[in-house]
Amino acid sequence: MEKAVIDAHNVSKVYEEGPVPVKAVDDIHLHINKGEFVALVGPSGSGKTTLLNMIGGLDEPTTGQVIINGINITGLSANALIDFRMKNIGFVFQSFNLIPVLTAKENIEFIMLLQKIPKDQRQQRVKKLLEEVGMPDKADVRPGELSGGQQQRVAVARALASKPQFVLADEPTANLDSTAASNLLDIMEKLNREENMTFIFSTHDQRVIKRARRVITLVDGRIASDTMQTPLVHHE
Amino acid sequence: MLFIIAWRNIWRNKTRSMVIILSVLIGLWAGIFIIAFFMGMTNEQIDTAISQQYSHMQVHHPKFRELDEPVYTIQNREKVVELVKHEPGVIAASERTVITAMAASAYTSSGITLLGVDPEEEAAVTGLSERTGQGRYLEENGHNQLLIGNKLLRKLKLEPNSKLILTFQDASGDLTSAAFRITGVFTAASSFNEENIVYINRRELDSLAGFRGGIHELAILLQSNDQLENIAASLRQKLPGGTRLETWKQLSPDLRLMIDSFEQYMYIIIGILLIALAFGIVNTMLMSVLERQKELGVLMAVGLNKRKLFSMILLETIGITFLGCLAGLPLAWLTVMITSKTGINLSQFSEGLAMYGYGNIIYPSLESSYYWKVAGMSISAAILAAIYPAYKALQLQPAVAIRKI
Repeated sequence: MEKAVIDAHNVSKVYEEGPVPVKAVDDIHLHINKGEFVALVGPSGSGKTTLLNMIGGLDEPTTGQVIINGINITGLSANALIDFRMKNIGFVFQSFNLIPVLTAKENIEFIMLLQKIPKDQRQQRVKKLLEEVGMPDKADVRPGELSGGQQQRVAVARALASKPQFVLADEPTANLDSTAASNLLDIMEKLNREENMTFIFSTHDQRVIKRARRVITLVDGRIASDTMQTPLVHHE
Repeated sequence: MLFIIAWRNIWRNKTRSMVIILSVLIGLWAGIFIIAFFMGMTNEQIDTAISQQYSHMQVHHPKFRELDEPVYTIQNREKVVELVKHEPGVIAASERTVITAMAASAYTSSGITLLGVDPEEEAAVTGLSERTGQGRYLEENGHNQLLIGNKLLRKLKLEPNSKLILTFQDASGDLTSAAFRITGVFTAASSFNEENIVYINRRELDSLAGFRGGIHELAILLQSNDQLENIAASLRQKLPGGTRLETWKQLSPDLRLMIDSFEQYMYIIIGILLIALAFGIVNTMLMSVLERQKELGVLMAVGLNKRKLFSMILLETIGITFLGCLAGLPLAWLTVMITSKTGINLSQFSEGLAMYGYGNIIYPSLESSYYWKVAGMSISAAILAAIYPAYKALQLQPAVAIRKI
């Protein structure tokens, strides 16, 4: 069995901002191995995004621990966590969260700059990533001039730029039409297959769920089911 | 890359950025011009005070200015005069006798300061001959000649060539009166001087008051005010005892105070302008940060740490202010340069200005160091103004910020 890249132990999240505390995630145990293609599914409010945020170090569990590659990220300081995210985790957000003032190329390059990667290496990787997501001709185009699908593909390239341990994608296809969603999933599947990149999605999009090899269903903040499935293989 | 992001962010909302840039531009332009105008007025007052009243420095008997008694004449006069006239940097010196007197016309009378001068020497030091308008200037061997200020002439309801009776205390303490004829009428930038000073020939005053060649005051004109302190120090070492040399700064403490406090006024004026600007900058940057919460959340999520996020907001703020400075400083410099040559005509307010020793035309001027000081203060204000918006950005939780619409 491959070593777990993500270990969540007794993870709970309680929001106490309103008059009544809300338990968004309730005592979850989760192990995700290197190279998995996982979909976190469930109805709205089931805790998918909250769990994803805690795995990604964007949110802190109220109780429990998140261990990534043997490092307990729950106890890290804010700056250490930012540094950890930069080096280990790629993010793809729901609504094409690219930096609007940067071109596609610059958006991808940005994380590598933060990592202080030399210029020639950065440029080579940007070129390779843009080719992998099928957008070598859009390098100098700003996000505002790209379609939603194209923006998400750039977002995937950006997520992979830092050579992360895994990619977290929060509803990546929510704002895409069928063709764009299918293209995006093709790219992510290919990266998973060829580069053994771990992908974890939160989604209730059937198009994504059908492609996933492991589907974890959340209901009321708890894991209701965790099943392996044979994905619907999409032939390019 | 942070520079690129900050720079491009400035131009995302062009209108908003331009409003701030224009505010900085106008603020700096107005601030610098006001300072230059005040400095021009101050310089005018100093120049006038030096050229028409105090000259650069004066020598007196140590007790003369305190007690104002005619008996306190300068000791070793000849030696003092010779030392002063041979001092490098001194271009002219005027020996004066100074007495408080009463000037009476047929209609009224007025207290005055009577200066007995050598016409040629006085003309060289204070340009009195050039300022003598109606009538003519004092003659070296003239008799009963008197120069009166335009304002005093009107006050005493006299005309050139009228007779004026002067009454004063002589060297032995007795009151002496003598009749003089108004030879000429002088003008002065200071209305006080025009109303209070009367010039006669020192030789005549000497014989009337019995000073036996003694003088109360030796007014000294230098080539340049820049040499003031050096020459004063040199002369103080050389002058014999029983004399006191004072520069115009000591002779006119109010002028000195004005100069010394000028820098403080400048900081106050610019400070007020910058505080107003800083609020505008805070408002704009805060709006910019709040509008971009989602984007800032993404940047933090992908690895932009707090220090870099703070720097980015700071760079944006400094960038906007810098652009305002870049436009405002040359504009201010150009305005000051043009008006320093053309002058600003304030003849409408000549009466009021003359009361304080100002001419009708003010020539704004400003040392180049002030431009850099103002630019430095503006950038400092921008940095301070960026702190609150940057702090708000640092407070963002990426998980929450990303979901902001």
